[in-house]
Amino acid sequence: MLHGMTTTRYEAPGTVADALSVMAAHPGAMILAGGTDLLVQYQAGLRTPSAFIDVKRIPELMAIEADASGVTIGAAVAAADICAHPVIRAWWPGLVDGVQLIGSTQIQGRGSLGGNLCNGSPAADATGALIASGAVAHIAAPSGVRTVPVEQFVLAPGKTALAPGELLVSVRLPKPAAHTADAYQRLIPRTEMDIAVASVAVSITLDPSGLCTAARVVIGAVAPTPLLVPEAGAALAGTTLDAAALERAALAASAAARPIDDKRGTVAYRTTVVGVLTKRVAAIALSRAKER
Amino acid sequence: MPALNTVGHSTPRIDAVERVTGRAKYTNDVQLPGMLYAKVLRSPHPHARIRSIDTTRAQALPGVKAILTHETTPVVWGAGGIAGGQQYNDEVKKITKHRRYAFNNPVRFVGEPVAAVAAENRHIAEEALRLIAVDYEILPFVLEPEAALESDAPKIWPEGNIAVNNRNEPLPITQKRGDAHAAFATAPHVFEDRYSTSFVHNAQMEPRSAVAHWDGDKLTLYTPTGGISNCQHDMARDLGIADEKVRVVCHYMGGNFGNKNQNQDGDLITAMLAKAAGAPVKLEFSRKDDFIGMHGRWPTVQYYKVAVDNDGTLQAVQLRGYSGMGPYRKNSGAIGGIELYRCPNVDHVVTPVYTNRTVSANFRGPEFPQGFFGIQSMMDDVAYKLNMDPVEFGVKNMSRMFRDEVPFTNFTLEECIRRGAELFDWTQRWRPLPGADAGPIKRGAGFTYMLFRSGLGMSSAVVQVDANAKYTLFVGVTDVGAGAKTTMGLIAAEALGVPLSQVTVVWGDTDRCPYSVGESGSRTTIMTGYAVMEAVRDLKQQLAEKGMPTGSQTLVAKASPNPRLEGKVRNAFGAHFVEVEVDTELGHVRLTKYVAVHDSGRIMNPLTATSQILGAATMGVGMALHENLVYDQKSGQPLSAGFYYDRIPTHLDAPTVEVSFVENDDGYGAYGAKSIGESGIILSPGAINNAIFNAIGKRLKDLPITRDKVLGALA
Ligand SMILES: Cc1cc2nc3c(=O)[nH]c(=O)nc-3n(C[C@H](O)[C@H](O)[C@H](O)COP(=O)(O)OP(=O)(O)OC[C@H]3O[C@@H](n4cnc5c(N)ncnc54)[C@H](O)[C@@H]3O)c2cc1C
Repeated sequence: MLHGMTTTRYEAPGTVADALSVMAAHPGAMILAGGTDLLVQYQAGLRTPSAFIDVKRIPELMAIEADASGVTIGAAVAAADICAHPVIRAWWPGLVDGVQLIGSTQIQGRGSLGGNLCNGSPAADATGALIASGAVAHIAAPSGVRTVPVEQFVLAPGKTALAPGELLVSVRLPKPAAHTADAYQRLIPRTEMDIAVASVAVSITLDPSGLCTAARVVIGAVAPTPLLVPEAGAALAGTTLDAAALERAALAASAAARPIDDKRGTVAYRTTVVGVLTKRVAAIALSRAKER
Repeated sequence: MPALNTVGHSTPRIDAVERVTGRAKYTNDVQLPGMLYAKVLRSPHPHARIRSIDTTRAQALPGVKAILTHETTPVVWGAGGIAGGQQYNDEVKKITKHRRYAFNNPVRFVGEPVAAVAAENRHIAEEALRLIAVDYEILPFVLEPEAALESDAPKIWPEGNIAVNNRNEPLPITQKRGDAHAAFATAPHVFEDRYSTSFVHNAQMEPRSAVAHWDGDKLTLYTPTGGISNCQHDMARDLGIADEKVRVVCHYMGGNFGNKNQNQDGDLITAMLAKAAGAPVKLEFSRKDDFIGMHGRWPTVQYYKVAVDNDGTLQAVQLRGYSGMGPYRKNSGAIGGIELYRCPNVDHVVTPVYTNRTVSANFRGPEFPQGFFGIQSMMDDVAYKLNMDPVEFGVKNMSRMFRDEVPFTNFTLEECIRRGAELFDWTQRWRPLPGADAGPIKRGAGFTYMLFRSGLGMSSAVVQVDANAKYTLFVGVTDVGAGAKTTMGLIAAEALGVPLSQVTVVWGDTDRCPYSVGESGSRTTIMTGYAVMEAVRDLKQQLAEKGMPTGSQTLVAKASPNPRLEGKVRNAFGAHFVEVEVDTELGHVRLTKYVAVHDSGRIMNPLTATSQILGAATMGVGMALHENLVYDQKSGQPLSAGFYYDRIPTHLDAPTVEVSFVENDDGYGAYGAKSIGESGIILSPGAINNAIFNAIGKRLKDLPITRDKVLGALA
């Protein structure tokens, strides 16, 4: 929707440096990756950027680089490319669980990991698994590059750690330790094309005997931001993820939830199901870790 | 029932290639030279009086060609209100107090049209809407039908909130036989319960659009409509011109489901803008416009009281029902279901009530999915309470005559139920003890049955043959999605004894086609199909007398039969069996088996008939589990307009439906065809609910059965 007679600029810089200077020149500009969040919001009249800065011509933002110690995913890489990447599939099946839930085949051809993160939704399906696996965000600022752990990236619904004029370049996932695996599930009102009412991502590490040595539990859509719940992780660490441990983790997850009532789910419902999901997702992560 | 040559064989639609290759021209594909674009300004308030509208700034915007408001354009939209279940006509129009205009003051629901603009392009039209200043006096509003009947409720009309019929009488819909009151006093078992259903939007794929242009005093209107003849007549009446001064064209449309019957306010607004601007005008609704500006299924509240004997024989049924109509009574607001049961004592009172919500009206099986959900959940519950198998309870108590009085032309309901139970494997899947499964995931089975009108009536057709033995059939159908063009072609080919390829079907244009009954009420095949048979009979007689035409001659035959049934009622029958799997920790309901058995008479085209049932059952899943136009009770704003927020089912939500037809020919309609298009949706909400009860042992009573309600019932 064009707002009356006003028009909006479109820029497509080829480098990060150019992108930063275009942003500096156009206060109120917004980054355009796949546009599957931004253009919908724009057409609904919820966002009125002075310019769109398309970042899909910047090579660093469009590449997946795997090395011995981890993988760097360019911010504008489309969901479909992430799900097809053999190293990502092997090391972070939980991230793939989340990314492949985003929208539909069409949406996954354009929607990006960076867009999912920078849109700042508490229900974003990729964010939980990134946090569970200890990912960090690489941010380009006029003063240079800085890194922020993903769990500190989303500050409030629609609000992120990016300052005006900054750009998310990539997300770095450290290679998982031995016997480590992740998993992600969400609950939606219908069976596809929907936004989570509650979600859980879990990453666990086992010792060779099968005892859990570390666990990270992240809950989504039940608080203003995705939440890392250390109490839930602590309930799993040092156990074999027996029923009692899972129950304690579920209680911790429900206790940490601070959901709202909305037309997609009530407070009571969301609080209950985030606990149920915690148990189920931890059990999936456990079976995957045992195969490692 | 002897097989036929053409009818009864699976045949792809004659327009399938056009549709799937994008060549089919829908209304919003129509482009006319010099065409303007329209936008409608809608009320942001659920109830408000317009003190003034200032359009001067909008008028001054370059490119704006016409602006209409309630002040400039006091045109009554006849089909928009006071139908009371009957056709709106001039007599009714004269006496009606609760008139619905194209633009109303006061406005009575969020989304009601306040003004419309035609401009050189959409952006100018949108900008112009922003420049219209409306001064509203906010009035109190009421959203729920029962609340609207409280003595201190805000009055939506001066006469009060009971929706009036077309004689201006605020009367409920009643049906009485025997003495229910006396039966409740003496029967060994009496049960009472309350059920409710939500506002569900028709959610047809194609949002409403219209293109209008005037050539002198003749209007041509391109619009997606299920009835070009009705639409033509409605437009002429509303505009005060003769029927032949209106041409309605609809070559392709993307679904109807009841909210594209007759004419719509968008059609009137577009025609009046075109007149005012002196140029063709196109109006296209956004999905949100369509959701809140068009109608959906009326929400209901249903209080039942049921008396039964010790052996499970029904003694009495009482219903006190309330239907939320929005502020205009576009259709009846009835609640079906009583007719499903043989019962000596019936006391049925349904009150249609005005509310400040989007208007409610006909949607696929208008009054039945709501009522069948309520009464068949109620009766299922009664069966369990008497320790009876619900299927046996149903067979014992089902109607075998219409209202226990009038015989049906044929009766196959028991056969539908028995066949369904067998195909579904009811005795294996149904749990005598509800909620008996161990573990968090529990399965259960449920069933419902139905009857649905298949009456006869007037329609017409013209068939012509030329010297090359090319047959042309002219029928005023548009194909709302149920395949009418193809079905009419099949019937003509069958009657003529020629292959379908030798018949050209001309449809969708009032200047070319004779009157046809509208494609609503699942009646086109029965009525227009029969007219096709009659026209062919006439043509064959002419051919026998005169021989084939030669040169540029043609032979033409027209028929407008109006067949009647004497002393009999004609119904379609059916039964649905559903198995669900309920995740009792998350409240999630998954459909694991779905069997649908229908008697729709002779099946004209098995391919289309099967997809009608699939589509309808899937729509019923949406009604059962997801859809509800939610309103904020404080502000009166609709919160869930659109396919996403309203959770219309996706492909993954659609069950795999096994469809089976109990075929027969009762000698009426076209080759014995009965109704089919609406039947499928009627049964699914009740069957799903009954299966959920069987799985978890808890009775859900309010649609939609969302996951939090399932968990709430289990808590
Ligand atoms: C039909 C549909 C279904 C959907 N289903 C889901 C779903 O199931 N789960 C889910 O999580 N999401 C879903 N979404 C939302 C959306 O598709 C995802 O969030 C997607 O990952 C967004 O990526 P994008 O590249 O399209 O982002 P864009 O729309 O391009 O951008 C999103 C936001 O991030 C900003 N941004 C993007 N890249 C950068 C960057 N490099 N640096 C700084 N800021 C940046 C933009 O300015 C904008 O504010 C759905 C959307 C649609 C339309």
